[in-house]
Amino acid sequence: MAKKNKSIAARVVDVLGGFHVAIASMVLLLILTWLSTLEQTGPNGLYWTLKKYFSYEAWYVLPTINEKTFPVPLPGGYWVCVVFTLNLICGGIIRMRKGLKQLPIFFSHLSMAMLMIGGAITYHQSREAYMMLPVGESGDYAFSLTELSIEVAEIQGADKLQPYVIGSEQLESVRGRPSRTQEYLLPELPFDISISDYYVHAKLYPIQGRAPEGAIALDGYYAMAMEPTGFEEQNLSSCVLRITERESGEQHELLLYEGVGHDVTATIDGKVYGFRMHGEVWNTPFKVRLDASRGEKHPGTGMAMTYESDVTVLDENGNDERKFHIEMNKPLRYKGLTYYQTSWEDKGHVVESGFTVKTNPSDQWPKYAIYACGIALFVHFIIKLFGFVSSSIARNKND
Amino acid sequence: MNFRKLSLGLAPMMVGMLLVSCQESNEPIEITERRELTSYDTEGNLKVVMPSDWRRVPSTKFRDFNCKFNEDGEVYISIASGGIKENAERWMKQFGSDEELVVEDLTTVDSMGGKGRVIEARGTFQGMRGLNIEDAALLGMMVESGGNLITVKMVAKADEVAAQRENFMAFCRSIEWR
Repeated sequence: MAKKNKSIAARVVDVLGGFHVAIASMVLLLILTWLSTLEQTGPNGLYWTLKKYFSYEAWYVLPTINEKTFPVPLPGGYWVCVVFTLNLICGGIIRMRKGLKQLPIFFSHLSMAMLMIGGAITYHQSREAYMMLPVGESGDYAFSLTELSIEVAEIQGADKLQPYVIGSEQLESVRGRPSRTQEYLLPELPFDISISDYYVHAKLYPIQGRAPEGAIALDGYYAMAMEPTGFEEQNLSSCVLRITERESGEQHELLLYEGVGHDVTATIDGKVYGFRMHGEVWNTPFKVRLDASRGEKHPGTGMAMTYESDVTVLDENGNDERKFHIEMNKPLRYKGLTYYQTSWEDKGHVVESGFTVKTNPSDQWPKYAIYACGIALFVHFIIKLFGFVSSSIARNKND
Repeated sequence: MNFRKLSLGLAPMMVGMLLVSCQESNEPIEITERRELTSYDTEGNLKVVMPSDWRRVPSTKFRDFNCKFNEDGEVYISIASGGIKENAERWMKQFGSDEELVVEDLTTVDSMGGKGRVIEARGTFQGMRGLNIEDAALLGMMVESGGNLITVKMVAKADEVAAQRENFMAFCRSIEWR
């Protein structure tokens, strides 16, 4: 009778918080992790495999093994994590029997839910870029190796003004979809632009005679689309940028290529504007100077075996503020940023350290969640052990 | 029973996911976000002021600062090796001239804190990769600075080069090391 009176919301909580949903989610996550681990070793590489299996847009996945796609749709990893988190909250926190004895289990569920929520915050809020520094140099920016942006800036004389940034999320609708066009309005400039023919990987060539058929040719150069490599940081994208002057309606077309290390320009109303396609640039809130860099490579390979760096954080006047030592698995954490050393290169005349610079509001959540869960389970074990021992003693006494 | 429960809970979620994944708008996007300038925006060794009626196009291995004007007019800066005389004579050969040049006789323009030598030619230009321009002209400048030879070369139809002469000279005068 009581069951019949349950509201729909209560029933949904019952189902979502059920043991079967927990098991199904964990098994699915295990399968997805296994399949994506296999797939990332193939031509898709890590970046695209992660996008395919665990991105927010991927609500289902068709696994590919040995370059064969299996027509078995599996739910996307992101959404399985959502269901699993709801399961933890509904089953392990809301529906759970409350009592002093259940407190450790309650906390272990809570910490696991925190771990999952931390993962979601990392997915949506963290930002990662790369900073390359030669010894003795200081850096005030990092750039993304995988997320591209297009920047538009007025150039006055030899100087560039602050650029307008079309970020990777705003380019997502055209990225890798060459037949699609996306329009961007620049209300503070006398023109608007549109982006089309966006290839994830292309090569740029100067035209010698005539451009090959199918290639996009503009201003003496053509871009030839290539099959993207699995290593997204090695792909060099290209696109066509069309400028439409707002007053006259006059149009200009530019070919943008990620491999070009400077702006290409167009003149509108007598002013020169620069346009550039490159990894998203992230102005770091403080400068870092690389004082020393030491490393060693595996013999006969280009792979770093070990590396470490001494760096100094500089204040806004360029004066030394604080010194740090960075090595593998021992990053620099300062003012909300984390610097992990991810590469080391001895070029003979110069030694360089490469750092992955990351901001992540939930950076330490997994660590704390695991500590909390470990303690909670230990307390639960002790309670159970004491219960067992005391009941055994009582039983022995009775016997 | 369990499967019925499971479907009851998961169905709305799957519908939600579908809706989220299907919404793909192609509406114009307004861009107002600007980025502060950093050392990333300081590019290359040379600082140059490009005339506003030229346009900058991608650099290549031998063209450190590469510009175009009109349809096919080209101007580019290269950091070359060798001396002014042999490089200038090589340029002249592209216009079919085997004349020996006397560097001191060439007119000068102030550039990079020194005196740049101006090289001029007219005729049929035969460039790399079989490029052939009838009634073309060359307006070039070479200056030695910091142990390097900086060359600026403009090639286009003769009337277009004549029209760009002032721009070219201003461009040469603007070049400096960063």
